[in-house]
Amino acid sequence: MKKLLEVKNLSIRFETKKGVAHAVRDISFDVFEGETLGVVGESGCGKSITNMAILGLLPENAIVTADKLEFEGEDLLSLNDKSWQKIRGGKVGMIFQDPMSSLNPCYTVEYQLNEVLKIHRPELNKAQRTDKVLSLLRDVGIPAPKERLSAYPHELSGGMSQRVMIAMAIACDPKLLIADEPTTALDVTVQGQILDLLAGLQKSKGMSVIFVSHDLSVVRDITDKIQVMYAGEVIESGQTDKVITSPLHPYTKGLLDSIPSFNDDKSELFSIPGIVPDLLARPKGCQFAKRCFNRSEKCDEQWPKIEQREERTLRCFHPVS
Amino acid sequence: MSVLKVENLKTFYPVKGGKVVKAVNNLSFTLEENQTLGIVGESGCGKSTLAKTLMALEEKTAGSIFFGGKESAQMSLKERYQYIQMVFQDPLDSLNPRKKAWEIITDPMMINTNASKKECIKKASELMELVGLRTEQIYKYPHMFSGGQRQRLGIARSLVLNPKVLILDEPVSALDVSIQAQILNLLKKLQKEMKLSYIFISHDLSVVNYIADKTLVMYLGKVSEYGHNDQIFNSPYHPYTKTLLKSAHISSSNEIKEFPKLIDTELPSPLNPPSGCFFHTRCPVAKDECSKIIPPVEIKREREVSCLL
Amino acid sequence: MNSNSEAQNIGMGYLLKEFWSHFSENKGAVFGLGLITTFIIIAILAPLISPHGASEVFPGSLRLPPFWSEGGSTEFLLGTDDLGRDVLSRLIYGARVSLFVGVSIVIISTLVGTTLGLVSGYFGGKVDSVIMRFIDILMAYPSILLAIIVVSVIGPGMTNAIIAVAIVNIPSFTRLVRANVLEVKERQFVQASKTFGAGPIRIMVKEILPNCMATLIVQTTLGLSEGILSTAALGFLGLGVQPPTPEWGIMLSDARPYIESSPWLVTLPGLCILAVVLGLNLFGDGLRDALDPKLKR
Repeated sequence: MKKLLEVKNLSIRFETKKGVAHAVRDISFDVFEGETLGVVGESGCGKSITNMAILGLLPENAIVTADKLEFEGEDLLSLNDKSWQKIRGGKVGMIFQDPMSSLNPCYTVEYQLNEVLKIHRPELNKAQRTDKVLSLLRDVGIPAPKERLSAYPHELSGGMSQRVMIAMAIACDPKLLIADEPTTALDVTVQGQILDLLAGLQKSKGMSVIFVSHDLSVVRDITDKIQVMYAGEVIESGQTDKVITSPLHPYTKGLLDSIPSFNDDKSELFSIPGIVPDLLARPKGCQFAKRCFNRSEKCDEQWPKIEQREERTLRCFHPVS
Repeated sequence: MSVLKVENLKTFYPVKGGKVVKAVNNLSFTLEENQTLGIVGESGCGKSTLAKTLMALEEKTAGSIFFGGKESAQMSLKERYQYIQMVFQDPLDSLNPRKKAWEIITDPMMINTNASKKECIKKASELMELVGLRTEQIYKYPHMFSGGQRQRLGIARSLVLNPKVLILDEPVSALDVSIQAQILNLLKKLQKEMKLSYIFISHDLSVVNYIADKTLVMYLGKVSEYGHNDQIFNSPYHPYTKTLLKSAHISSSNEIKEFPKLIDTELPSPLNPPSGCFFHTRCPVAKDECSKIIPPVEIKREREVSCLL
Repeated sequence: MNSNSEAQNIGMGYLLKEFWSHFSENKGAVFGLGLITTFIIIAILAPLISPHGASEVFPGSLRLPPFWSEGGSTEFLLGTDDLGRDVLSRLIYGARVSLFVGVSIVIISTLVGTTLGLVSGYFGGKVDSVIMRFIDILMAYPSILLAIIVVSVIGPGMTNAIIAVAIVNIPSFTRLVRANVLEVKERQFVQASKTFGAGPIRIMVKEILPNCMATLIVQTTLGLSEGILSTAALGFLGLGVQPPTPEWGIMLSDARPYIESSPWLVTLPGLCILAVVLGLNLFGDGLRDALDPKLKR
């Protein structure tokens, strides 16, 4: 398999008046062709910011450094605005959390899909574009696509809007699809369908997918690899089923244990005490040490390095066995 | 004795064009003391309207609500609010950003009693301790708290009048997983210590399965299935319940895993509900008669179900 | 990012500090604040710093130019007018008049406008329709024309000018507050306060109004500048404050015949009006940016 995206020691800082906030610190990962990578973590853990960096959408005051940030061998850090536009929406598609606010309420479904094609597929003529729009809508499972062409976003339900968003994201057959919490705003019945759709599209189009979610049960079903982020660091990553069935990092284990399991056990839930550290005043050692049940003095003093262990990467001195 | 009893409750909204949205349509249930009733369903099923009707934020169209044996009509709003309180979904939006923690918590007290500022501050610090907040945070504003702490503030506020019943409207859905567990544990602890009864509204079936004793599944304002948790979650009867369980990927039972997919993905418009059984347009096992006959609510296999099958 | 760590010192001091750090980023706003502060200090200290009385007449020195021009004297730093009154002193006392008039206008229009906006936005329905149609009628006239109409009905003079301009300023407050109320009343904390029995007045005053304060403060500064400008205009037309009160608008209009022979008589009051209005507008814009939580990072 070919490496599609290679990220090595990526750090993202924000200079604020109150000091430098390290939103993302020293993360490395690869996405291979046709692979689905799940990214989980709590809000503020840096999952979305990492994606923004891959898409070049970070705000001006962000400072991005990396030993390597390459997409198909092309260095993303040295791109100018014009080359970014080719990547965004062309080679890399993106779906956001809230489909209702991601579509422009002033334009019809057809117009918005057409715009994407006009920018990235200038060789198509009008009739070809219309055909393509229809086939896209069919691909994402919108019933009676012809009638939906002239619909405005407010006339669509949440699930339908998300399907239109997906159609826009895959309009130019991207190599990589970044899905940032694509089902969080949707009902559970719709959520399942959207996940099925994404899995099906990935297979039929051979895309790679980065799937960001806070919901481990969703990530478990759809991804091959998973990386768990905490306070802007990747603290554990590996094969999805392995990480979920036998987590090594205490944080991963804590996250899994705090989900109510679907059995008759109604005893107290495991809960991770405390809250995430302030990114402006990071602890010296392990970022999770304060909330960890497995810590030692060393954890407060030293920042654990990324290690390979049991076919996964880990940033922890005292993994749970 | 039941602390809350709802009989044939209806809440209808008139909308433009002379139509009526039947947001809550003929619901009946009882809540026993120190128990939790879970209410699940998709958005637009009437869960929130039910909560608002119980809190008198919406006027009921018909039916009756009994608070501890007393009918709602015979109670003043003041009495009602001392009996039943509510915790809202969005912890930031439900706290006034211009008020300090103690003012937020004791707002109900200031309105309903003649307590002095000193008494309010004392009560606020007691409650903050009870819900696991540090009392020195009493003068802080909501934006200075984290999401989980804000929800604790909301819970503290709902307890200030010593209510018997709490309506929890999606209290953990805006929170991160690790914080969710903290809040769920807190709710369980408070229930035990204060003999509270909960109405727990959620779209998250695993959470409801964990916290509730009985569960009511709603679809377009009507009850689909209502019974004890082990019946609803371990041997569901209604195809809608089965669909929900299947979509949530949480049940290990083969019957659920192999249950056929929904026919229509879209929820029908509540303005124009289908004929017969409301679910028949999406139901994978519907028969011809489902589109003609409105299924009555019957006791089947020890739970209330409204399904012809 | 996370405001938990520095939240130890709260209360007014902390909030002010937070506010200042946002506000001071905008250099124009700080400049505006400087202009207004100077203006207010001059207005308060007028009797102490003005070299002569405002209406003191020096018959021997009519229309003297400022001291730097030929024929000027250091006794009358900015010259004298056609009746032999010291221009600098009149300008300094004029600041007093403008400040008093402006503040009175803003107080009246804020009180009335905010109340109407709160009631109209909160209750909606028929109440809203009636209030908003009234506001629409007020807005249908160009503001200065409306002020002239009001003054011609109730007669000229300082009090009447204040009332007239205050009425003209009401719509902007009402519309602003109403829009704000419509947004805030849908928020969950307003619903929440209903669930523990808060009545409409309490909800309007204690829950909604504090959340409209930021925009209201901004509108107040802008209203102040508009009030000062409209009063000067009325004064210029002879419908506002009456002579011999040292009002900038009147000074302007009195100097009109001498615009070619003694240009300083027109220029100086004009510059004063310009400086104050500019200062208030810059300050208001800065306030808007600093207080608007949506623009905060």
